[in-house]
Amino acid sequence: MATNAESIRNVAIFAGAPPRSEALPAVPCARTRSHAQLALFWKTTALVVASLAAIGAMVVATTGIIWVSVEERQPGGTHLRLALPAILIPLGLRLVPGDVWREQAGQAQPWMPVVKAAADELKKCPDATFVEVRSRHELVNIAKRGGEMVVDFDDASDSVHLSFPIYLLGSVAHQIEAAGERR
Amino acid sequence: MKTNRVMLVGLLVALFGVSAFRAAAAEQWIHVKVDSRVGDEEKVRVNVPLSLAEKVLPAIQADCLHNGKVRIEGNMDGVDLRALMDAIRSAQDSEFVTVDGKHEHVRVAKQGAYMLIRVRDDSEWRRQGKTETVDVKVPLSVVDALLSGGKNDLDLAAAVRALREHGDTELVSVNDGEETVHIWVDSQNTSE
Repeated sequence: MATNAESIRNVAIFAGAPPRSEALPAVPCARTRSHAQLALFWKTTALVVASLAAIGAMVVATTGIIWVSVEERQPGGTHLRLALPAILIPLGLRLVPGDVWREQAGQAQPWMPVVKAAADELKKCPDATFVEVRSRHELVNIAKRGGEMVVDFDDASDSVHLSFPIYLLGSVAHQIEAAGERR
Repeated sequence: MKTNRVMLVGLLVALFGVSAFRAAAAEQWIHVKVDSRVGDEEKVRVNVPLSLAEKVLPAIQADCLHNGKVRIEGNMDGVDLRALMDAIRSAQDSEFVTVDGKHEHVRVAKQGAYMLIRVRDDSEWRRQGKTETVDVKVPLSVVDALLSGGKNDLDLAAAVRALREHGDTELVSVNDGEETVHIWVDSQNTSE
């Protein structure tokens, strides 16, 4: 009784395919082995890249994004749009050498407890518009929307939008305070 | 049957207690609303949760504001504000100050749990038949809290705390013909 493989081969020969004269080698040749290794390398690389991207996306999703949009209303005016992972700000401040901003940090230091207290309390506040100034030619809006502070400014020549996670205020205030104390 | 009734009453009392607690715990907001009828017809709306003001004020260490208290400049040796306040609180509702000028009328009074200041001035706008009006209504508990600091201090943080505990109230209303200013406290997070 023919095995399944033999039956398939017989059908293939009947259909016009040339008969296979040589059997498959039991051990893969060097070329096949290098192909397999390359494939494994690419698979590993893809997995690492995908994991890093997933972790990055998770970090960005957790820590929030700073959105900046500046639009000049004049013809040919620039339109800048920037989305920055919020985590980069405290990380970046850590990397900046203390000498560069210690003086400014020292000057701002007395106000940092105010910023920290405001940030702590803002987290607990419900969403609201804190300040709205509206005139014929100008609009200023400062609001809290879902864990973010949103600042909008509009006038005849410019439109500016800035939003950032509230925790960033406290985090940056901590760092400025620490840098000011080291002065 | 009796047990069921007791349980029902208990449940109702608990529900009432929870709703009362929620109402008491509702966030109070101070609102400032400025409407201008001249120039660019500017409209300003400021809404600040009193809890935020209460936490932020003591953190400010500026020239005259420290730990939520404002230092009163000038000679206060002859004035005991707290004794004055005690006298006002224990007095019956009445007008303490009345100034009637040709174009200006000022009235300072106590009415219930409030201190009222009312100013009417038509000197600037008399030709147009307009009157500048200022109405200030401050809960006495807030004035008490304001004076609860040292002799020469106004305790703003304590006043904000008292304002929060007092609940909804009108504070300031100014109309000078060109601009209106309205300051009040309620549990809404919008000025409209």
